[in-house]
Amino acid sequence: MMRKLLQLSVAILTFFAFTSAASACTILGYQPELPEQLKDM
Amino acid sequence: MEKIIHHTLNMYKNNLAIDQGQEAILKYGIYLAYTYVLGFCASLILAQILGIFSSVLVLLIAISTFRNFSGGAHCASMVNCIVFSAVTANFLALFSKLLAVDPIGMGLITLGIFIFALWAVYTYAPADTPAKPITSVTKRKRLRTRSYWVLIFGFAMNLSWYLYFGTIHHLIFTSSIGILWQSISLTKFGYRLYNAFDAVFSRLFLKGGNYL
Repeated sequence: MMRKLLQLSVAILTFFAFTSAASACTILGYQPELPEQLKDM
Repeated sequence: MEKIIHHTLNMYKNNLAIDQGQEAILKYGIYLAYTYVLGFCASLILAQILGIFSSVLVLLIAISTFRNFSGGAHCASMVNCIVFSAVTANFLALFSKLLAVDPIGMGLITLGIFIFALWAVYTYAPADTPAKPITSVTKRKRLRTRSYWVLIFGFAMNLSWYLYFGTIHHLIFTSSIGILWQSISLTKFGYRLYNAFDAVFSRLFLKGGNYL
């Protein structure tokens, strides 16, 4: 159960990361350093 | 906050098989999730106390939607961002309530905001940061175009409501105030404002600060 919840949350967090990488910046006023894997998206 | 994020990441690493690349993306996602959840919660809890929940919610949605495409100034840390967002969102909602008196006045203000926002997008959007530079010309063009579309949609909503009902709905007007604030954050003045807040907040609350 815990593992399934973690996997679901990983999907959501990855979605946040990719949508943020595709946009101009984060939707609130803090921009963490973009990881190398998401640069040039 | 760093410790909390580190613990959260460790929880994933201990229970799931993730490699270094996935770990970096996951850590970035965790940063974003905490920022979004805490930022929105702080703003909305304060709004609920002040009795302006719906206005602040509309304001945050407008700012977030426009910011997604236009970019803008950023705070230096997550905590600064959360506090700054909560304070400015509620202040702007109260400010919009003061202005939302006369329909003609609101109409003129909305028109002025639309024109200013168009200029800000033309001059500055998409406004990037060193943490997330936008180097692709295609991407810059795409984001700028979508910023224009957000403005046009917002203004069209205001205009439609005004033509149909003969007044401007106060929540739609509040969203225009959000667009105004986000447009200011694109400009050099907006960046200076955010930097000034960071300097004051860090001085007051960072270790070694002796003002409080």
